[in-house]
Amino acid sequence: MPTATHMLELEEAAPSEVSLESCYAAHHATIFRLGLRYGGGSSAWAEDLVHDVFLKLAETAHELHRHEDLGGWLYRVASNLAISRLRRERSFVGRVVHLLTGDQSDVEPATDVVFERHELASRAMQALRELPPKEQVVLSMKILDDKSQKDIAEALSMSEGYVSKLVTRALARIESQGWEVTSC
Amino acid sequence: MLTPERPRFQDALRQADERYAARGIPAIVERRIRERLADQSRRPRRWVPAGLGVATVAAAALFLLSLQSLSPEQLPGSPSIVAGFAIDDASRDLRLAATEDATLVIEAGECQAIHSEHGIQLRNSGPITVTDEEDGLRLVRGRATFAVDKRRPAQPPARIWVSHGRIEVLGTEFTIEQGAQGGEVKLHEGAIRFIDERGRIRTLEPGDALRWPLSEEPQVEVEATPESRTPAPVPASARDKRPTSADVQVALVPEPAQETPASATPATILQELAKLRSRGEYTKAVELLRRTLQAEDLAAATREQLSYELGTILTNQIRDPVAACEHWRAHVHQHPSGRYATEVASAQRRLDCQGEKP
Repeated sequence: MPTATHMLELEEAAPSEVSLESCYAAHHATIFRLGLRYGGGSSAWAEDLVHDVFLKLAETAHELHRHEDLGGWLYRVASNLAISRLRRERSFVGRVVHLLTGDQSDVEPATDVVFERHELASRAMQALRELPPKEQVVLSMKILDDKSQKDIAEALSMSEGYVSKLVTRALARIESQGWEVTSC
Repeated sequence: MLTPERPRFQDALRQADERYAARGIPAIVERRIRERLADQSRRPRRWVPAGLGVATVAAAALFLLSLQSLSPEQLPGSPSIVAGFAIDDASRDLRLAATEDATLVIEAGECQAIHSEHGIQLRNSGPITVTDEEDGLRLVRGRATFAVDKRRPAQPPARIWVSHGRIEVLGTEFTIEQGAQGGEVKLHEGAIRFIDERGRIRTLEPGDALRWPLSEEPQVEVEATPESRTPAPVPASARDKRPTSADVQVALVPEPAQETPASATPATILQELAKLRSRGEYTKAVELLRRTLQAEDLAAATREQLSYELGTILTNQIRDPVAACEHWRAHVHQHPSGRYATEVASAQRRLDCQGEKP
């Protein structure tokens, strides 16, 4: 995941439109990786996130300005959609639907398969996954994407103070599970 | 008394994230996303007023609950069953040949074929022949991408038999191509291992490709108790080429290494590189790349790609952090805003290369 956001060059042929195909080609792999991260390694979860993000882009492309930082925009949308989805899954209704559909895509065994030989990595990702949705996404943005609290606050429409609280709370939870955490 | 050292969360988490990055996005998933987006654009938008949200969810739950009591064949719009495979998502030109009970022959078109008993799905690319074996499927001929359901506890691994061995699936998604005399598997996600007729084992990681029959290189793993099994009949075209015991004796003497000249085209170099990777001959791959990169007449894009390939082998397969860091330093110096800047920075971070800045 790039720490710097990217500018996309817009096709001269359609100066007032975003080139969706070029956006997709440039960024879908990055969004998929975010989906794997938040979905605990589930390919299906990541696939849904990529679909939803680019659907949103298709729906709002006409509102975006030329030279918009599309990489950053997609990252923000993906992060917010991830929070929404995680909250839905953990709600009562989400758990009922999961029970009835027998969805096999959730998640611990998938993580175990991917990290078969990397036990610590598996445990770390599991610990992240067990955090409440906002803490999970905020901490990921801080540790894995090197985002500042200001950037996180702007991306998720929160105050910087709230972001700071979420980070502190999340690290405290992680530490209570026996991890060494460095303040960030 | 020494207190045990606590594991460092941030480092472990970054390592986990790098593993996800290495997985990439499987071709079959990417295709599905494109199809879903294209399909979405064709559908009229339906809006459900917020007040009906709860009722809608309850109705959906009741509908899904009712579906669970129906057998697969009774489901509305359910796929047809052929030779034990549920056929779904068929192209218009799909043509299935008359089959014996356990053989699926696709002569034209594409479809998804699901074998629920073995927990294996496949999507063909062109004509294929697949048989249902007692403990898995056999790809007799053709190209197909396989996906495997997560194993239930105590369920044996999914198995795909091919001409010179079998592939045991430890999770996930891969593409197999079986020709008349051999074949290749490319792993997209998860883990698989290939076990040949002699019990030699190769374990693949995402992105790896393997060709069979395997070369005579020394193997790390050998199956402890190879299953005795009657090999499948060898197609007539390949029968004359099966090695005799004399041939095998000769084949055990390694052939003299033939160096691919540095002046070979980039396509040739990459083909040779893929071959070396599939055989696990990473030292030779490094030598080939280093030789090639010394040539002065390489195009900039090719040079960058080959340099990146060299770095990833040093990092992931050879696992020499000193050599890898030194190489990445040189790579960044030569290609400061290159195509692989993100991946290179990640590799340098993972290796903890000192003083490196992307």
